[in-house]
Amino acid sequence: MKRLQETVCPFSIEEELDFSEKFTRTYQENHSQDISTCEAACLAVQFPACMCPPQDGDMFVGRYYSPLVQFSPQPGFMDMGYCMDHDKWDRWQKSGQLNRQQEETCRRLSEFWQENGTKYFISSHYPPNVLQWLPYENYFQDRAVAHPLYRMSGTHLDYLKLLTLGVDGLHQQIRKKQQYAALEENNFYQALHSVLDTFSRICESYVDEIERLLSQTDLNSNWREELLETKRSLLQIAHAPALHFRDALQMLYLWWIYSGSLNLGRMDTYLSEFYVNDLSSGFLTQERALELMCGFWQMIELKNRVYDSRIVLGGKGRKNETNCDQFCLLAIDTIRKMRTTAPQVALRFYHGMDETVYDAAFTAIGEGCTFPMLYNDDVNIPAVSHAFGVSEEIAEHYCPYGCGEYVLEHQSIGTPSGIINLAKALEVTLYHGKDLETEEVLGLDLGGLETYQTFEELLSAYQRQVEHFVTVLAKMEELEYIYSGRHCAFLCFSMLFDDCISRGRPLLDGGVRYLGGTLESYGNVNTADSLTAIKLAVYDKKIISSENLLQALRDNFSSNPNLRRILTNLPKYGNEDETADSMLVTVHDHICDTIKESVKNTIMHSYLAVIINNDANTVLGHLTAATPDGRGSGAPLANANNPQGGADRSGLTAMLHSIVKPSIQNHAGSVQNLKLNKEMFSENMIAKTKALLSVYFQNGGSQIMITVVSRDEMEDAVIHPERHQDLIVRVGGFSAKFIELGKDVQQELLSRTLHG
Amino acid sequence: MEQGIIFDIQRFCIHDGPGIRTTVFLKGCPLSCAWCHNPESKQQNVQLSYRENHCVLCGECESICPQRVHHLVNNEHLVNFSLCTGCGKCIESCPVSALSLIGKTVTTDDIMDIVLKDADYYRASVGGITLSGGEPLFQPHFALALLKQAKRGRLNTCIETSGFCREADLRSVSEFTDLFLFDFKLSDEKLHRQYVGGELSKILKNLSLLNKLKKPVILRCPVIPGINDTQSHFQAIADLSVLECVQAVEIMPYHTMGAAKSLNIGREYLLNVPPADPETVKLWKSELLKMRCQKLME
Repeated sequence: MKRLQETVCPFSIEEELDFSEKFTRTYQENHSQDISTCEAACLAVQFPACMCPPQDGDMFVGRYYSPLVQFSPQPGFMDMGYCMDHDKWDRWQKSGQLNRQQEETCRRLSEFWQENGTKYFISSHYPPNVLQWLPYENYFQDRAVAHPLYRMSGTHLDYLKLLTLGVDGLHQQIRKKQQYAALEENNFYQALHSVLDTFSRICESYVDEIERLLSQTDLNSNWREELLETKRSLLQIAHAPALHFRDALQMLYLWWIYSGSLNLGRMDTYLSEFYVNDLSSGFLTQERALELMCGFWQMIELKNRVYDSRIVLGGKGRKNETNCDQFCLLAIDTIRKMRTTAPQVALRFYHGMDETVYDAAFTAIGEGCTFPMLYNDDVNIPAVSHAFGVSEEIAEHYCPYGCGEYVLEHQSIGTPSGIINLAKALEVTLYHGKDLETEEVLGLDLGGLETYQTFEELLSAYQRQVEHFVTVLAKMEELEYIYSGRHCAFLCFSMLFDDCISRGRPLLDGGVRYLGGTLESYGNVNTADSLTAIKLAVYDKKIISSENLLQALRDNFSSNPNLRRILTNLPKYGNEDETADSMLVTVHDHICDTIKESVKNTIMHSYLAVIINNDANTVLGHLTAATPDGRGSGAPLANANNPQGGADRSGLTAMLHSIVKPSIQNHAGSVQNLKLNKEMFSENMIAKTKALLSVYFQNGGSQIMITVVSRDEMEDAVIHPERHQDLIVRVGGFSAKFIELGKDVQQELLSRTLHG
Repeated sequence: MEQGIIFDIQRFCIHDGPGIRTTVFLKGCPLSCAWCHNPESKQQNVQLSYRENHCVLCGECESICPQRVHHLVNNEHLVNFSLCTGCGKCIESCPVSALSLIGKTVTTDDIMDIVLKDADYYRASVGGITLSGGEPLFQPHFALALLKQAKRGRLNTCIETSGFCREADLRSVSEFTDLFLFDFKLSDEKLHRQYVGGELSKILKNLSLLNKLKKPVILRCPVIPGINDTQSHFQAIADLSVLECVQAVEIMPYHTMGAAKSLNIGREYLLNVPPADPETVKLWKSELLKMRCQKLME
C-alpha cells in the first residue's frame, strides 16, 4: 500500500510567526501562574490551530504541523517541553524566505526561548561538574565519552481509560477528586479539564472541516464515505466514550498526536473489545477491520517516527486473552499487508500462549517484515521485577518503547537522558584522559596504557572512568526530571497515567508512581573485545608492546598493519569462547550495576542501563579512534549486545549461546539483531528455525529482532536500489527500507553475519 | 581412546541431515574427484596451507623453517609444499595468519566436547552429528568410535560418504548411523575411473548392502556440466531412486569453490567448467522428473 502524501503546510510564514508570537504571549501571560494553568493555556492556542485537514485518501484525521514554537514532550529535534525549532529558522534564513521584519520576529522569539525554553531552564541549573563532563549534546558531531539527551520519551498511556471513559467520563472522574482539592491541586484539575475541552474542540473543528470537504462536489465517492464515517466517529468521541472499533482508532490517533507520546502501548488490551464486539454484532467485517487497520498504519507511518511508534501485542496479564489474541492476529495481518517501518510492533509471548499467534508472527518475520519483534515474557517478567524492584505482578506491565527500553505501562517513565560510549571511555583511559586522535581532554587522567603495570590496573582505571561519567549522568537525569517537572505538567500524559489524577499531581511533580531513568550504553562489545585483546597481547603473551599498540591506535594501524591482523585474530565475543565472553560479561555487569547503583543518590525510583541501538553505533563509531580489537578508526561500533559484524565465526548456535551469557536482571532492555537467510523460512527449513529460536529462548534469550534477506540481496540493493524497494531491514532499535539508509549504515548491515 | 585426523568442525549445519547439526570433517580420501570442493581433505596427513592475499612478505617464515619450504624472491613468496613436514613453526611465526596447518589429530572426546555444546539445539530439532570428509570411512575405526559415542549421547547420526570403502566397515558403522548421505557421481565405469579414480562397482555394491540392511539413504548427485549432465547418467539416477532405502535424491550443482582451495595447498585444479546457473539446474530436475526419478529434493 502506498504512503500517504506529506502534510501540506497550513500556514504561510507570516501566519506561522503570528501563531508563534501568540503562543509566546500566552506563555508570558501565564507562566507566573502554576505550570498546569500555563501549559493548558498554551495547548489551547496550539490545538487545534496546528492540526491540518485530511488529505485525499486519509481514513483518519489528525495530521499535525510542527510549528516554529510549541509545547511538545519530544518534538522531532533534540528538545522538550516549551521549545523553538531553531533548525527551521536556519532553513528559512538559508532559503532567503524571511523579510527584515520577519527576521526580527524570529530573533526576538529565539532570544526569549533561549532563556525560557524547557531545555534551557533545565541546563541553567546544572552544577559545574555536569557542565564540565557533558559539554556537548550533539552526539553525532562532537567527540565525547558521554552526552546529555533532551526529550521526554518512554510513555505508554492508559488508552483503555481514554476510550472507555471518554472525555465526559474523565471530566467526571476529575470532578470527583476536585471536590476535596487544595488550591494547587485544584489548578492541576482545572488544567486537566481545559486539556479535555481542547480535545473536544479538536474533534469539533475536524467535524467542521469535514463538512466543508463534503460540500465539494468533485469528491471521490469512496473517500466521501470514509469522511462521513470519520465525522460520525468524531461526533461520538468529542464527548462520549468510543463506541465502535473505528471510533476507538480515531480517538487513539488524535490523543497520540495531541499528547506527543509517540508510543502506543499494549494495543490488544485496549482495542480488542471494540474489535470483537463489532465483529460479533455484525457492525464490522474482518475485511473492513483490516482496511481500517491499514489506514491507521498509514497515519502512524505519516508521523515518520521510526525510532518510536511502538505497539506491543500479547503478553501475560491480559484480561481477555482470547479476544486479545484475535486482535493480535489482525495486527499481524496488517503488518504483512503494509510492510511499513512504522509502527514498530513487538509480540510478547509466553509458555502456554495461543500458538496460532506465534505462528502468524513467524510467517510475518519470514516474509521479511522485521515485525513483530519477539519478547520472551517467561524470562523478561522476572528480570524486570528484579531490575525495577517491583513485584512480578507489576512487572507483567513491562512495555518496550523507542528502541527497546522498558517501562511499566502508565505507571513508570524511563526516558533515556544520556548516552555513554564505553569504547571512548576506554580510549581516554589508555591515553591520560585524552582523545587518541585529537588529544582533546575528554575524561579523567588516570594514567596511560604504558603506566598500568598489570591488566587489572588498566581494568580498574577503565571502570573508574566509567563510574565517574555515570555519576555525572545520573545527576543530569535527576535534574532533567526535577526542572522539567517545575516547568511542564505534561498534562496529556498526566491525564492517562495511573496516579496523577488521584494524587492531584502532574507527572513529574509527584504524579508518576515509578520515576525511572535510563542511560544508553554503546560500544559495550568493542570495549570487551578490546580489553580481551589488550589482556592477551600486551599483558599475558606480551606479543605487542603498549607503545606499539598506542601508536597503532593513533595512526589507525597505518604504520603497522600486521599488528591489526594479530588483534583481529584474537578471541572475540560471540563464538562461545570463554575468555572473550566472560570479558563481555565483566563489562556488561559493570556498566549495568554501576548505573543501577547510582540511583541511590538521586530522587529516582530506578536508574538503569539500556543496551539498545538506533544508528548511534555507527554515528558514535565515526567519532571513536581505532580500538584494540582491530576495529578501524571511524568504523561502526558493534550494535547493542551483538557480536561485531563478521566476528561471530563459529556458527549461529555458538553465537546464540554467547549472547545469552550477559545478565538481563540488571538493565531495562537489551536488544539482539539476527540476520537470517530467507531459505531458513522455506517449507523445508522452517521447523529447524523454530527449534533454533525455541532453544535460544529456553536458554534465557530475552528478545530478538530478525531481518530476513536472501544471500546477495543487500549487495544487489546497494548497486540496484530500484529493484529492492521492498527490502526492509532491522538496523538496531528501528526498521528501515534498506535503500533509504545512508551508505555507512548499509555497509554496517552488510558486515553482519548472515546465518543459514 | 580412538584418535583420528580431522580438518574442520562446523556448528549449525542445516543442510547435512535432519535438524540442526555439527559436521565433523575427517581428513583423507581414497578417491580423487576432479571437481572435489574440499581438496584439502584428500591427504590424510597434516598439511600446510598458504593464503597469498594475506601475506605481507615479512620473511619470518623463511627464516624459521628448518625444511626451507618458504622463499621470498623479488617480492614474491614461493612455497615448496612437498618439502613441508608439518612441524608448524612457520605458522606460529606468521603475524597475519597467512599460513595455517590443515588437519589436526584429535580424540573422540575432543570432538564430542565441541559437538555436545549444541546438544540443546539437537534435542529440539532432532539433529545431531554428521561425519563428512574427505571420506569418513577412510578412518573406519575412528568413525565408528565417534558414531558409537554420539549414539551414547543419543544424537542423530549421519555419514556423508562416497561409498568407496570396505564392505565390512560400512556394515559395522551402519548399526550406529541413522542416515547415509551417499554420493552417486558417475554411472559409466570408465569415466568413473577417469574422473573419480575408483571402481564404480564397489560403490554400487555398498549401496545395495545399505538397501539390504534397510538403512535410510539420501542419494547425493553432483552434476558437472559437460561431464555427467547426460541422459544416460540421469537415467541411472532415476533407476537408483526406486531403491527402497533411498529416501530422497539431491542434485548438487557444480561450483568452483575447490579451485581456490587447491591453490592454497599447492595442488593443481584441472577442471575448467563454469558453475551451473539456476536455469540449467531447473532443466536437469525437470529431465529427471520425466525419467520418473522419485523423491527429488527441491
